[in-house]
Amino acid sequence: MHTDLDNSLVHKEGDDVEEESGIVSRSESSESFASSSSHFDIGLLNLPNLIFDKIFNHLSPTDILTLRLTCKSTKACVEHKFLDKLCINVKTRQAFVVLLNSQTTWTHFNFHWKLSPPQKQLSQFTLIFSEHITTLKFTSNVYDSAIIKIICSCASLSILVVEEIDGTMLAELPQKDKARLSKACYSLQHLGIHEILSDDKKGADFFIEHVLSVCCSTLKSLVVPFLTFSPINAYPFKYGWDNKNSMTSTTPTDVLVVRPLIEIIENRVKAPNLESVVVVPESRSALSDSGLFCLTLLCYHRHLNLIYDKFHDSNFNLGKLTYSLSSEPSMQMSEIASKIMTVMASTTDLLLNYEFANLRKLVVQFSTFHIDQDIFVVQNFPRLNTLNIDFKIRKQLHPRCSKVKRMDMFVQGLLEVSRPSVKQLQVQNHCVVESAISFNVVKVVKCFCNLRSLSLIGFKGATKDFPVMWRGLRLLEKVELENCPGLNDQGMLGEDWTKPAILELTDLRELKISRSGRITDLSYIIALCRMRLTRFHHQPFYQSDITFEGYNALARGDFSKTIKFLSGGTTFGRLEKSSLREYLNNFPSLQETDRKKILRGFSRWNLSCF
Amino acid sequence: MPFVNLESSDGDLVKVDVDVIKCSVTINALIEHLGLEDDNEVVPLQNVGTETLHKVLAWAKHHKDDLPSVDDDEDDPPRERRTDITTWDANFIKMEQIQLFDLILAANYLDISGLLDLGCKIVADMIKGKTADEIRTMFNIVNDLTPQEQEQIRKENEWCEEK
Repeated sequence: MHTDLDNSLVHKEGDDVEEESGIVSRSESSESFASSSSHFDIGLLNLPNLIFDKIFNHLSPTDILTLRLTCKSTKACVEHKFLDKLCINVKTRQAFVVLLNSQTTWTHFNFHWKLSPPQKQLSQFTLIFSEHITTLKFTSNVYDSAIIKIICSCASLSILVVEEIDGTMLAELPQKDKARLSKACYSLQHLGIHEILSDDKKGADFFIEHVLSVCCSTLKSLVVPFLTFSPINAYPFKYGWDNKNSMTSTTPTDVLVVRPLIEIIENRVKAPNLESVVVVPESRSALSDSGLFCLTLLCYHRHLNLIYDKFHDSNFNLGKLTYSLSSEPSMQMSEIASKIMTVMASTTDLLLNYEFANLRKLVVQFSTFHIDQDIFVVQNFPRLNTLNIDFKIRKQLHPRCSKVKRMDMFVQGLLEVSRPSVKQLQVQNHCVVESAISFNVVKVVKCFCNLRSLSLIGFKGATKDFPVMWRGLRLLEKVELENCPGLNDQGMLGEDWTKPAILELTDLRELKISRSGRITDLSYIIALCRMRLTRFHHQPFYQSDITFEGYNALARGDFSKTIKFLSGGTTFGRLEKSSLREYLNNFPSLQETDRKKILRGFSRWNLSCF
Repeated sequence: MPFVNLESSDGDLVKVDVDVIKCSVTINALIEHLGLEDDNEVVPLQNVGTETLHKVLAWAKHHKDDLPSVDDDEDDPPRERRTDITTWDANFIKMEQIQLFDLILAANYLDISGLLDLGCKIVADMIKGKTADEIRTMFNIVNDLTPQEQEQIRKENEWCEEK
């Protein structure tokens, strides 16, 4: 970590080294810097590389790009350090023209074709950049010939992402171009061809033979492509997995892509560096459950990450897995279950039957629920960190009907076993029938002694339970309570106002309360103004019982010093705009954007009044 | 050996509690390698001037009881933003630019990560949100780009984004 100091370290004689006397205001410092610039030897540009890197780490891409404009030396430095982290978005022809005059050897390009550039410009572009390009992303499929030309011209790519490509066009490329394309893909680390359009299976064959096979030894991540046949259903489900009778429902993507892909990636010698396989939403829909299951098992056996990109919020859909595993030995399921870290479950059988020893996040949605057993044991999830429970029981499904049998017992059991490890808890009630959840959630939640973040939506809650909950959850940093009418002043403060219950939450920084019971100035004056919140959201003016006294209390206490985000512009509607501006000056940490938003919100509210 | 004598590049000796300067990996290593046993032995710091050394020591003294920044739980979401600057640090770091760079270089040489991070963050804050002209003025950088070059860079920046 040591770097030789610049020889020009300057020591100014006679300087006072006392801390207080050494303090110089920022403006003074700028002036004195300007006046002392003649003897100034250590500047930003002379700092050692390691320090320069550390400074850059704190800067946004916009600031880094601005630095390119300061001088040649900074520009070179920025490009040396950050060229690899910057990407050129080619959205228009003008971008092409600009690039053709660039002095910078850009390496990463993201093409959003709207208008394909003229042939001449395209050739010029490939001449200038093809030797340097390492990353190519195409987010449009309109100009396949241009896409293929650019890929073929590249010397060696690390990342290739193509949203859609015409597989037939690829298959019909001259032999010479096929060889060039293979050469460009030879050392790919990330391959993401999402969709291959083809009249026949040649497109998929080309992908396997000329792209995947040539780069599999260097590949680290791979997106499973899906096939789109034209005309649709040209390849109906006539292929099958030969050796697995249970997997008869297969798709062309399963057969033409997944099967050869599995043959390659299951071989450690052929694909030694592979770390992850990505299933994008489209390819998920083109995969049968059998295909997905085969991929799951393969990834499990090879210790690869199977990533569902944007699919169900990247959660593993337990329902699908249950279906796919119906004929599998339970031993295998136990092994898989122990590897799974995130689960989204609308069915709960597996949660009852297998140990998910490494589960960190569990999302359970109840639209129906049925357990026949009168007595059952919910598995323990020793490492569960985040638990989201969402009740969405439809009107016609009354809680006592058989389709939601034993749900209360299951949820209470789940909450019981998760108490020690869970740090983030969200329980939402979106049931049409209010009484669908018969147990007292607020009462149960108070026992989550390690909870850092709590979100309760749609639970009435008994007023007396809230103070008990605050006192039980002292580590809370973030609280969101929505549609909890049981929460009122007494729920905030408890019986003894000299020791307000909510003030027990000394770590609380973010508080959101909406559609609560009657919260008045009292809570603001006694408790809220003393809290060191950074983010506070309260119900808007028309639902609020807060008066000037409450507002003014916030402007005086600790609250005013720490708050950064205040939401709900209309909350302040009772103040005159000029008073509001003055009022907001009491909150020095308030973000400027938030300040403007509140003032804008005031104007809108004001206009709507007239 | 509760105290150690540090010799600045100006030849001045500063006696300091070992406990205060334990945050410096460099000084710890020097003490260990030089095998210093009594209070009169001297650790030479050829790259740190007296004034800067005093600044470093003031910072080290204030932070001597800080816990080392290790992640206590891999599953824990980050609590307080650890990059936030405390009021004391903010007041401490208010100094002339030349002193700031001296301090950063000294922190780097002495391998005091907390102080180095603080200095780098302050410099980054000086850059944040500024125009190229303002940055040049701030750091006394001479613009050697032609107007054409600047125009080209400006256009490129329009199309450029983080990867």
